[in-house]
Amino acid sequence: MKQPPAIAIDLASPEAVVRQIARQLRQFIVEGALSPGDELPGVRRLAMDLGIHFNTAAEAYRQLASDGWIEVNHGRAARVCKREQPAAGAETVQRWGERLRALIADTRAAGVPARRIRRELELALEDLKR
Amino acid sequence: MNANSLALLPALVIMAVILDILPRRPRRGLYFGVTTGEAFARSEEGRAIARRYRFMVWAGTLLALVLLPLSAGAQPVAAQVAVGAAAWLHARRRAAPHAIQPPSVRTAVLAGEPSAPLGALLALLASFAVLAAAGTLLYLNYDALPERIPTHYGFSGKADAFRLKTPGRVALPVVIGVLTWMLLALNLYGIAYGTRRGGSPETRVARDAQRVYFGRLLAMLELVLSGLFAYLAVSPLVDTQRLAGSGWIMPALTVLLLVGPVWAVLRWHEQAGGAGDDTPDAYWMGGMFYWNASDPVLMVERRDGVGYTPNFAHPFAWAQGLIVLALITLPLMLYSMG
Repeated sequence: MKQPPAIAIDLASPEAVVRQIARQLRQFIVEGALSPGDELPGVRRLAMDLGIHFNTAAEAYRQLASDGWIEVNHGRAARVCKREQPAAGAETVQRWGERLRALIADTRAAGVPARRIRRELELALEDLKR
Repeated sequence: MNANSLALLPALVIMAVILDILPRRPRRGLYFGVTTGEAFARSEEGRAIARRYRFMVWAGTLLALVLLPLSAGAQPVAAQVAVGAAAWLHARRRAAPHAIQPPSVRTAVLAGEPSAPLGALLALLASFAVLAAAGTLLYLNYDALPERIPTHYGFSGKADAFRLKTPGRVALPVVIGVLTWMLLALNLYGIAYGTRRGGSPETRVARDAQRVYFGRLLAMLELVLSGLFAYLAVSPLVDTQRLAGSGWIMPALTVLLLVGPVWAVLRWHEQAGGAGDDTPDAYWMGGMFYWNASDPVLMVERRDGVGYTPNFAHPFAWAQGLIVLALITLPLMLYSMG
């Protein structure tokens, strides 16, 4: 049986908790750790386990639901949706390339060696092939 | 020293043993309710704090034992509890300067709610059925009860106080039983659905074990207490001078009440002692009461002992408080009416 993934938030991080939750859930869905139909913890349960306010957990779910990643029905468990892959336009691809190069530049500026960055990118590529 | 004093003697010693054991088995990263990290308990200062705490606990017990021949009532127990609480607060004050920041990372497993604990649910229903049966039996046989009914029993099981029969006095044990049932049922709900499940993989395992363990313990306690109150309620129908079958029930109950808590503490630590804590120290009053309006949990793991305590900032705790208030006032009202 597939073990459900665990989400981790850092209260000391400058990234808002809502964004941290939404980003990780989206990542799990894209990487296949969560599949369409998988049940997610309810808003109340997620808030209790993370020790955050209900509204914070609810807002993260609302954002993911409005982007079509999950469906949230009142009184029923939240579930991962089967999402049609949108066709990315040239502008989207170009913007992604720029963001990636900017991220690599920032990482190198922070002192991470080039071979470590290459290794991480190779690992990410391996994940993509799966 | 009379029989009641003698009965209290082992209870005081057992309470002292429990208070002595608890700090030797702190939950991960906590020491006297302060987030100190695991190493502090083994440090020179940590050991000195524990030594002073244990000295105070045993001094309080000695005081209670000295008071015992003078009074078999609440005074010896109150003395032991007061000194025990003072020892705890003193140890906590000494540990406070060594507090560290709790980890800022929190984790949660992305899985749905597990199925309802069927065993605990059945135990709840069964224990309520026992109380309902006792209530029905008393209602149907009210006229068969004598005009004066026993209202207090000595340790031997012999009735030593009688009052005129009124519906309130006849129903008193069942009413206490139902209120106790409500309190335990609320606690069971809080433990099953209102406690945190997140944390590191190790903490999650310990938390799951603790939840299951206390769920079972409360369900068992529910059955025992409902049976006890039902037995106290219907006993005058069988014998108005002494508790029916008290020859063996009272010793069995005494052994259960003395051995049960020690067994529960040791088993708890074996099952769930490793569970850490990710509640900030600032929200704990005296390390005993948790009040955090921004935390949606209904109940959290206790820092001053075994089991769970409510998040007092939540209306759930107020509901528990109301039942406790009813447990204190309603029996007094029913007893004195008529």
